[in-house]
Order: sequence, then C-alpha cells, then structure tokens
Amino acid sequence: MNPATTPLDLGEAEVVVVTYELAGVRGDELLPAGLHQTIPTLLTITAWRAEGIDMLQLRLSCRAGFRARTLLVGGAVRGAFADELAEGWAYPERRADVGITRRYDRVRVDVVDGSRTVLSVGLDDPRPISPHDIQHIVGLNLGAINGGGKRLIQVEPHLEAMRAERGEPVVAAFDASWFGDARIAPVHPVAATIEVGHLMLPPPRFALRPDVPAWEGTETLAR
Amino acid sequence: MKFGVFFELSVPTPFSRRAEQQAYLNALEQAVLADELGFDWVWAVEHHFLESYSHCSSPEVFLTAVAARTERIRVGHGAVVCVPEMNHPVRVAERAAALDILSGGRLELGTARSSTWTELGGFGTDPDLTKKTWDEYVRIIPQMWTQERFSFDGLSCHVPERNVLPKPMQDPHPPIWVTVTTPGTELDAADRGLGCLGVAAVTFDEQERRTAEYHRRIELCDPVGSVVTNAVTTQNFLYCHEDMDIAAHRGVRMAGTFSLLNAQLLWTREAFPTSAYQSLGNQATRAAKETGAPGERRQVPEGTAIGDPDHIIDAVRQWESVGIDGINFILNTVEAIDQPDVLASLRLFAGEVMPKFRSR
Repeated sequence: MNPATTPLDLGEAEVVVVTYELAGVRGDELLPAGLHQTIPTLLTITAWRAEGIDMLQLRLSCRAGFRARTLLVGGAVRGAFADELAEGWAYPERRADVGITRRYDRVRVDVVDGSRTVLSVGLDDPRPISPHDIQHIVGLNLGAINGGGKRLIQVEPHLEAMRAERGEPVVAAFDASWFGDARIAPVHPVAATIEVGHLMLPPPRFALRPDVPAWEGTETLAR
Repeated sequence: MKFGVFFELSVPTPFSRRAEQQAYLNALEQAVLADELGFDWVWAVEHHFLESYSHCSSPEVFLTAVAARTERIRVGHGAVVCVPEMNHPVRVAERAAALDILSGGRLELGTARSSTWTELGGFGTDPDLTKKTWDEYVRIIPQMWTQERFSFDGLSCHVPERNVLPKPMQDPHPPIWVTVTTPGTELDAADRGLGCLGVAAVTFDEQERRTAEYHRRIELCDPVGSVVTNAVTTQNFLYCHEDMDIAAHRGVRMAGTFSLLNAQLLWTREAFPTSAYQSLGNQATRAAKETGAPGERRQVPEGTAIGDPDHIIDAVRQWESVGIDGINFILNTVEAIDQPDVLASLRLFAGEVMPKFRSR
C-alpha cells in the first residue's frame, strides 16, 4: 500500500455496527505483540454502504498505548473505490457482495461470495437514538507500506451522522473460516446500530510497528 | 484538609493465589499504619472482572477486616455499585449497617453505577438504566436505615413492607457519597446532599469550577437522607521520599502503571451506545474520539503527590486553594513499589506533610 495523502469523500453513507463479545479465546492470542487486549475482547462487524463502495469490516477491540483502537482482522468489499481504499488506507481487498437491507422492524447486513452467504448479521427492532451516543473507535489496518515491513495504519473515518438507531444485535450466519480465523466469531451480543450520514476518510496520520508498544513504534506519515 | 488511602487491590501478573493474597495483606498493613498515623479514611472500591487493575470485588469483607484491626480511621465504600444485578438494595443497606456496627460507627457509604462494559456486561446490566437505579438506591437506603417499616416498588427492586435489619450504629445514618467520574455527577451529588468522592484525573482549574458549583448547589439541595454530606474529595497518587529523584522514579512508575492499566479497561461507551455514559473512562479528560498519536505518553496529572515533602506540601496547598476538603491517595499499583517503601512513604507524609494541614 501507499498511504493516501488526500481525503476521500464517500458522500452519504449507511453505517451498520454489530458488536459481540468473543468467547474461548483471549484478545492477546489474536493481537500483534504491540497491541494490548481489552477484557472482554469485542468483535465489531461494521458495514458501509455508499456510492461506489460496499464494505464489511471485522474488527477487534484493543489498545495501542493509552488509546482505544480496533484492529481490522477481516472483511469484504465491492465497488469502484475498493482499490483506492485498499491502497491508501489498507482496507480489505477480498471481493464479495456486501448488502444492507433496511426494514422498519430490522436491518440486515449480508455478505455473499458467489451463491454462498458467509455472513448475515443485523439489528432487530431499531429505535432512534442520538448520533452523539455512538462512539466510533479509531481503527488500525495492517498493511505493507510501499512493499516494506508491515505496519498498523491508523484510520480515522469521520461520519457526520444525521440520524441513528439502536436495536437488538442478531447473527443469523457467520462463517468464521471464510474470514480466515475460526477463533474470531460473535458469541455474546452487546449492541447494534445503524447510522446515516456523510462519510469522509482523512488520509492516515500514523503508522505503528505491530511488534513493539505504541510508544516505541509510532511513525508519523508524510501528508 | 482530610487525608485518606484508597485501595483498588491491584494484582501483578502472572496471577497466582499467593500474589492475590499478598496484595490484600499489604493493603491491610497499609490501612493499619494509616490509622496509627492519623489518616482520616480508608476507602475500598468495588470492581468485578477487572484483571490486574482491581481484584476488590467484595469490599465489605476487606473493610470489615480493616475495621477489626483499626481504632479510629473511618472505613469507606469507594463505592458500592448500585445496580440490582450486582447488589440488591436491601443487601447494600444490610451489609453497610453491619459494617457500621462492627466498625463502631465509622462507615462512609460511597455509591456508584460502574463505568465499564466488562462489569455491566458481565452482570447483564442494561447501561441505559444505571443512572435511574442509582438514583433509587440513594433515596431508599436511608429509608431502610431509619424506618421500622420499609416498602418500595421501583425499577431496582420490589419490596413489600419489611423491617430492614440491622440499623446502622450512626444515628440517623452514615454519610453517603457518590463517586464522580463524569463531569456533571458532582451536580447530582449536590442536588441530593451527597458527598462528592472524586475518582477522576481533574486539573486544578476544572476542580475549582466543579467544587464551587457543588458548594453553591448543595446549599439548595433536597437531601435524599437525614444527613447532608457537604464535602468534595479528590483522588491522587502518593509517594513521598526525602530524595526527589527516588520519589519521582518510583512514584511516576507507579502512577504510569496505574494509568496504563486503567486505559486497558473496556469502557461502557466504547461497547454500548447510550446517552447514560458520555466519557471514555476516568483517566480520559474529555469525551473525545482519542484520535491522537498512539505513541503519546499520558502525563502525570498536575498536583500529584509524588516527590519530597516540600513538593507534596505545595501540591496539597494547591488542592486546598481550590476548595478540596480531602485527598484520597492511591499508594501502590500491582506492587510496583516494595511494601517497606510504601510504608516509609506513609510515615514520611504523616510526619512532614500532614501536620502542615492539621492546624489550618
């Protein structure tokens, strides 16, 4: 990858976040040595739908130094911006159909690879909440900068949400092996939200070495 | 100015049964010495599942042991988590009254609602409801302590008419506090006539603003009990040593370890979107998205009581000048400071610093 130096405006977007706790595995068994686990470790399943991009991200809660972060551990993407997001921000490259379906009583996110549904999650009985009640935690995406050593790229998508709803989290299908690690699977439900707003991706500012603590391995990226 | 010691009962890793016991025994020894040296309070938190950070899930047991070994120091819950999945309100009143009796009327009851998803999620608590249930607890516990016939039908419990026993030794009842992490909780405390038990890192300016507003509001309060506790305390680290360099080296390491452990906690706001939790923890000074550089180290807060006696006297004077009534000290974290050094720090503080504030 080559970190982006200009922002990417994705326009109006729908963002669904479904959060579960993992079970049977500790965060420090899943995270690189430079990150710290939270107890419990949360799996956030995040879907974006915007003009030119349908993306799903699996993220694990963690800490980089004193900062709350989420580590990208899997995903799927389709759309015109897919290559640009992978190249500039180290977002997922694996192609699959990612869909968000909204009804008054439920919201569903489906990931379909060919004819196979590898993920179906969402929220039941969505109720309006204030967009200010939702905390989006800054992400870390693993990528090799200019073909060099692997780095955790700090990504800070900014969603200017106009409305938000919270509902009961639902998992109807989750093929952990398709996403690459059978240990990473949603077990205990926490929360689920959908937001509509303006999604902007500023260029990455920091890259972290995954093998050492953040205060030893944080690099500032050229803008 | 009053002084207290504040225990999280943190345990170093790798965990062992022996290490857990040693953390408890060391804290007991520190509490006994604090009593002998003239400290005013010993507080113990209630936390659940917070590995390493706090293994103090049954503070009433720890505080009973403290009470049994001490003569004068007041024993405080810092604080009981007032959500029904963790503590039924009747059980809180019963246990606290028993501790008040066994301590000879030395109980301070701190109340709280928990800040972490680790704890709330672990007990299946709905974060949307914790402010409401806390508000019920602080109103009905004084009733249980003072009324022969108590009944209640609310969100936190349904209790037909009963006599909740025993009654506390302090008459009409022990002082009640609330832990203050999020800005605005000090106003909840003032409006209800509760003491303000600060447990967050706050600047002098911010503390002065909050304290002034608290004291203004409490004059107009509608007390939830028969006793108004008009006091504001802050939390601090303590490591006192004649040699400033040694004090800084050991004390800053202890404070830094605490802050790092604190940063690892999974805050409710991070997991569960709700208006009931607006900040990311008690070491975060604002509810920002924390988008800064992960490599930044967190600074030791201003006014930290780490240094030689003169340095600490200056720090305490600053807290005194912004209207603080008491300071509660964290003495150690995951045994980062050897126990003899912790005890020596307490003795030096009591000998050189405390007298400067006792005759004022």
